Amino acid sequence: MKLPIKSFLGDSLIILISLIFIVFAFKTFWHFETGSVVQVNFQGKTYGNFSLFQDKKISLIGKEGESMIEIKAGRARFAHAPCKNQYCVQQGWIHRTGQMLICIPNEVSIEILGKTKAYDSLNY
Amino acid sequence: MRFIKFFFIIVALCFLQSCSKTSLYQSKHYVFGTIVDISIYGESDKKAEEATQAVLHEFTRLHHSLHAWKRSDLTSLNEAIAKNKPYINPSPELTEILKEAKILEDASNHLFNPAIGELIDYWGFHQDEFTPIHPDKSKIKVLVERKPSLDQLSISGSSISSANAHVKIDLGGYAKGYALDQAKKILHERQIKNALINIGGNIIAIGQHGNKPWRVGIQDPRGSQAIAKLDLPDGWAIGTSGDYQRYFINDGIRYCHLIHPFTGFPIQNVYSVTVLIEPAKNAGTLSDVLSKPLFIGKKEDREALAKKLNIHHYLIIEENRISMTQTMADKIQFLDMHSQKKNHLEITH
Amino acid sequence: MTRSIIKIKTTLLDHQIAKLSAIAIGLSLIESVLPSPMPGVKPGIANIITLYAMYRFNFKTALWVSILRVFATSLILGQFLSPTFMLSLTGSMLSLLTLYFAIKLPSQFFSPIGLSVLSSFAHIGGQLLLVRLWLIPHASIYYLIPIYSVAALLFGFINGWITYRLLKHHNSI
Repeated sequence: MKLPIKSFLGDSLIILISLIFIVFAFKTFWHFETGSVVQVNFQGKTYGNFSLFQDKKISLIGKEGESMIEIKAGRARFAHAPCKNQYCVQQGWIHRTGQMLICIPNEVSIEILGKTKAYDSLNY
Repeated sequence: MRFIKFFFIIVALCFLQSCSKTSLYQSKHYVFGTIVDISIYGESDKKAEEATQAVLHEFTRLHHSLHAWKRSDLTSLNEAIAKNKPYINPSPELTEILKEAKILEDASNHLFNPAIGELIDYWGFHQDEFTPIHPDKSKIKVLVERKPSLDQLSISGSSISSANAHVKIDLGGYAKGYALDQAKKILHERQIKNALINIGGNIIAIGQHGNKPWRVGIQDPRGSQAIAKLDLPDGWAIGTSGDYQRYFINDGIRYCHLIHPFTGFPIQNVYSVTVLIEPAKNAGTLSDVLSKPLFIGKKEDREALAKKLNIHHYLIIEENRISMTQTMADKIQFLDMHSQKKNHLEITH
Repeated sequence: MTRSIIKIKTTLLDHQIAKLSAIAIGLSLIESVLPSPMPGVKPGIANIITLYAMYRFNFKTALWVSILRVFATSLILGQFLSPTFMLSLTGSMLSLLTLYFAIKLPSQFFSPIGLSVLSSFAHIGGQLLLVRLWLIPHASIYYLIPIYSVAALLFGFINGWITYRLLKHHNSI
């Protein structure tokens, strides 16, 4: 099997395809349970997307008063809400993809985003 | 050269994936006193946005016409009833809704009763923000003994009157579902083939999400995430009644907004009831209404009630216990192994 | 008393198979005591021998070497007919099948390196399939695919490169 001309063209192709497959596999099979971004919705519009890994406090003045969203160490929560019920505050921290906290009176909601969502909409 | 072919297939797949992402139009709005979440698939952004606006416009109209405590057609009707006067020239829509609600009240053995507005008001749920109350048993007894029911209404084309002045209509368990059916109609008129509409948790599916059905999550009644997910095929609707939606806690006791019309007290110890409704003209309405009788009715009556009301798919979450029909079990996928282990799973027929 | 002697005629190829198998078994045993970051992620250095046998001799030799190695190793380690053995057998057979076809690729473009990568992927692919279908059907092992793929590419490449050097050393390529 001695051959004078030798090239690694085919090998390179195989390796290239393998690499593409690996990237594809990571994209398809690895949706981290833990989200990386929190989306803040305010008065029907996306107020902004914020990294969960950058500690931050976001203050929103709505109809009822001030809602305070706190992002800390990969999690997010309502630190303060102007409403009486305080449901959103009581629910505590969220960090997993698809988790959501809503403050209806002040029209603020926060949702953890990830690469893929387990579902299109939530029945509650 | 099949490797090159393979390579192109992968590239094409990536491309398709990114395509499918862009043709989903999703928006969230605050109407109806809750969050409305509309997803439209496979239409241009412009067409999707116009359709969304049309749907929202309809929701706002319904909000003003059916609201239980803010000035609306319904509060005018309630005022007339309280004064023992007939309500003249009701809208055909309101007449239709009341007729349909009456049928559902009777079918549910009066467990779904939209006439108990006085009771709901007493418990303080007729406010955007409610204050915990200390229930007064004798007061509640009086309210229950007034026995309000939609059966006491006489509905004609030109007027509505009630034999019982204590009928106070609250369509809280009906209006959102009705709005879903209206939204479906509007989207159909606008030739939107694929959409998912969520009004405060009640969802109806139209078409599907690309080549997959729409997928919805079911809220964990004691958590902030989904406990399970399922595919919602074209025309199907899903609705949940939960003790976590509107409630207050007083002296460590949870009082939720779902009140038993016979006892006058909120239901205790049921976390949530989810019903899945097959395609029907009023699937949205049914998804809103039919979870109530199962939530309110006695445990031992549930199966008979479900049979009577034609509910084939339901899921009930209680403390340490999840029960559902086999048909529901076939459709549902739990997301959290922990919650499955923790709870006793029961299949009913 | 008559002495009975059983004599088996052996060919030169048989000796080669025996020699190569012995090396492969040795490598497998060494590998079995090496720590692994997670179950299934192993360098698979014995595949060097399989690949070497394939290039140096023929497919049949490689097949024998491979089968002997899988059976002997599992007998030595007391894993015969255990799930580990089944996994090993499935992986080896699938990677051999891949090599059977891959060897037909034009050799001026494809070296043992490419073939080794292909066979690594086949090996792990077969094992994952067996796990999914037979061993733990309910578990979602999809999460593992990316990790195993990286391992397959890395070790496939290294093994292929070693094989290539060996063959070059023996002037077989």
